[in-house]
Amino acid sequence: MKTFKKGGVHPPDMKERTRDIPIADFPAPESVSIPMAQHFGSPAICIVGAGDKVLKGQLIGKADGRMSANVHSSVSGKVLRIEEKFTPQGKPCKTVVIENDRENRWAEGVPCTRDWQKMSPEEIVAAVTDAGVVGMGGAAFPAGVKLTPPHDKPVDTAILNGVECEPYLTIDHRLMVERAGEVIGGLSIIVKAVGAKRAVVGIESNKPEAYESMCKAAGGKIEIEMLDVKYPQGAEKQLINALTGREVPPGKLPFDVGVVVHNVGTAWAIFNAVTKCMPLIERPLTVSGDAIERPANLIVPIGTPVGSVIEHCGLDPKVKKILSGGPMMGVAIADSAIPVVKGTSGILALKKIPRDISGPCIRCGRCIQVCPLGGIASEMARAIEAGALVDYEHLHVFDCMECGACSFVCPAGRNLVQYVRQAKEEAAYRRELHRKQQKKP
Amino acid sequence: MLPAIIILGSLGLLFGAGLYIASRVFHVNIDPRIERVESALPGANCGACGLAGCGGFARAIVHGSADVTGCIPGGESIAHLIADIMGVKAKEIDKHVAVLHCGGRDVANRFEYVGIRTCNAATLFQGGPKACLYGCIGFGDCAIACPFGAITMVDDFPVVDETKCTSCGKCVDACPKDLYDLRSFKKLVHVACRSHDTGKVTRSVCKVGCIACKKCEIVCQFDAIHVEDNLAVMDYEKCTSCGKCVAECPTNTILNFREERKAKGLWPVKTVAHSSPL
Repeated sequence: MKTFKKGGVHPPDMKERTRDIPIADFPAPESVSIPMAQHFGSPAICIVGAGDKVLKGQLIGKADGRMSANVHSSVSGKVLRIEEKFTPQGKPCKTVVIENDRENRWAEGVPCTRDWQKMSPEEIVAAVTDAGVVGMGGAAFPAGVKLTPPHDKPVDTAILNGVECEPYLTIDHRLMVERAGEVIGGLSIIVKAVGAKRAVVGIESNKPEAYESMCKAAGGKIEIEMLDVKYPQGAEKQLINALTGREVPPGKLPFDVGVVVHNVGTAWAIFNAVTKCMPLIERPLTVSGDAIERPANLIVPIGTPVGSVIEHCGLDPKVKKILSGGPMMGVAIADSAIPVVKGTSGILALKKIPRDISGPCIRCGRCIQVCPLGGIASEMARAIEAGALVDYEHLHVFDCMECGACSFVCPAGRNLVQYVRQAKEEAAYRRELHRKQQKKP
Repeated sequence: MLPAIIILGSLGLLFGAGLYIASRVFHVNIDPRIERVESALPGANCGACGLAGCGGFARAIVHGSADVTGCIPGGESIAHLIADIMGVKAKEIDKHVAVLHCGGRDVANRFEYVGIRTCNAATLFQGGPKACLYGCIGFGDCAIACPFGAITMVDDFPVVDETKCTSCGKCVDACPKDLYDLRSFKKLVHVACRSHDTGKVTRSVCKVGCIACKKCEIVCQFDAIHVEDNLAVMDYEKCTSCGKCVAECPTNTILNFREERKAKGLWPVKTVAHSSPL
C-alpha cells in the first residue's frame, strides 16, 4: 500500500464511537453568528445592516478580491446586530448575528437544478465562487481559486482527499459511505473545471466501507486508492507524494507539479453549488470525545454556537478541553458562543488530557524522525527559548504546516508547535522590517 | 653550549627587531579619548544608544556621530563625564523612566492556559488567557528583558523600580501588548489603562479599567486629557501634573506618581554636580 516517504506518526485513531453513526441534520438554532472571515485570505465585506431581513442562502458578505470568499446567511430571519467576535482561531472579525424566524424561506434562485455536463469550465468556476465554497478540510482555501490553475501550470491530476487522518473525526468517512454519488459528482466537476486527465481518490485503509462505497460510485475512469494509515497522510503534499510520487518543492504549491487536491467535503459542497445553486451554508462535522455522551456526525448550519451543538450531544461536566477540529491540529476554544464556521470539521470535548510537562530539550531527535519535512522544530524551539537572533526564514520555518507530529512524540512534553508559531511571527516581523528598511532612502 | 646561546640570542634579537619594526610600520592611531570615554560608560552593552554596545558608542562619540547625552542609562552623571573628556558642554537631559500603562493586577483568566509561559507566546493564542485582551498577561517578559533588574513580578504583575530604571527601552520592546512607554520623569500623572473596550465591557473584567466616563476630560483645565475610542489619553505636552483628573477618576485608572517618588527621594529632581574627568 502506498504512503508518503518521510516521517509520520501513528496516534490511536479513536474513530470507533462515530464511524458507524449515519449523518443527521442538526436542528436549526435560535440565532446564528456568521463571521466575515471564515476562510484563508481577506475577510468578506459585510453588505447587510442591523434590522435587515434576510433569506436562507442570501449573500450577506461579498468577497474582497480574488483571495476571499462570499458569505451567505444560513437561516431566514432578521439581522439583530453586527459585532466584533472571535473566530475559533482567536482572531476578532465582523460577525453578523441573525435571529432565525424558523420559516426556512429560501433566497431567490436557491435551490435550482443545473446540468453540470452542459456547463463550461468558466461557468463551473463562477458557480463555485458565487456559492462561497472553501476547502472543507480545515484550511478553508477559496475553492474557486484552486479551480483556476495559472496558464503556465496546467493540471493533469485531480486528487480527492478522503484520508481523514485526524483521530476522532469520521465525517469524511460517512460522506463517502452515504453520499458517494455526490462526492464522485463533485470530483467529476473538478476534473472538467481544471481539465485534468487523471482523477484519484485517496482513502486510508481504516475505512474499508468508504473504499467500497466509493469504488461502486466511481465506475471506470476514477481511481480509488487505499493508503497506509499514518498521520499526516491527509496533508496535501504528503498525499500528492503518496499517490503520484511527485514532490512539491518547499514554498511551492500543488499547481507547480500539475496537481490539484480537494477534500471530499469540498467536492460534496462543489457538487451542491454547481448542480443546485446551493451556497455554502451548512457544514458536515463530527462531534466526539470522551466527554460527549451522544457522539454524532451532523450537518450543522454555519453560525450555530458550538455550545448548542455540544449541548445537543450531551456534555459531561468533568470536561477539561473543547477543541474545534481534530486533536492534532485543532484549536482549543474557551467560549461556547464561538460559532461553527466553514472550516469546522469537528468538535471534540475531552475529559482526559495529557499532562503539562514542558521540560528542557533532551536532544533525543524523535521530532526530527517524525517530521514530514525532515525536522525543524527542535532548533527553532531552542532558539526561541534562548531569545537568540536566528534567521528563521532561512531555516524554512514557513514550510512547517504545524501538523503536530513533533509535539506528539516529544518525551519532554515541549510545546514545539507553539515555538514554531513564535518563530514564524519573528520571521514575518523581520521580513516586514527588512522590507521597510529597503524602502528608506 | 656557546653556539646555542649565540643562535638563540640572535634569533631573539632578530624577532625583537622585527616586532619593533612592525609596531612602528603597522601602528594604528587610536584616539586615546575612545578608551577614556568607554571606561566612563556603565558597560551594560544594553544598546539603548542605538549603537553596538558601549565600545560602539564610545567610537561614535569621538568621531562626532553621537551626542554626549546619548547614553540613556548613564543619565546626567555620565553625560557630564563624557562632556568633560571631550571638552564640550552637555545639554540638559530630560530624564525618562518606563511607565506601565496597565493596572490590571486582579483581572481574571478567561481560560486555563497550558503552554509556553511567556507573554509573547501566550498572546499568540487567542490574545492570551486574561479576560481583558488589552492588558498585562503577567508572565514577566518585561522583567526578563530588563538588563538593570528594575522590573520585578509581584503576584504575577510587574512593578517598575524607578531608582533602577535607566529608560533603556528593552521592556517597551518585550511587551506584546505595548503597555510600556518611556515617559519624562517630570510628568507625574499617567493613565494606567490601554483598553479600547466599551466602559461596560471593561468594567466587567477589571475594577481599575478606563470606562470612558470623560470626567477627567471635563475637569482638566489644561485640555490635556481626552477620551478617544473608549480610552482616556494624556497629552503630555499640555499636562502640568496637577492631579485633578486623578482625584476625579471614579475607577482609579489614572495614577499620580508624586507621593511614591517623594518617598523614594526621587522627587523633586536634583541636578547632579559633575566632577572633573578621570
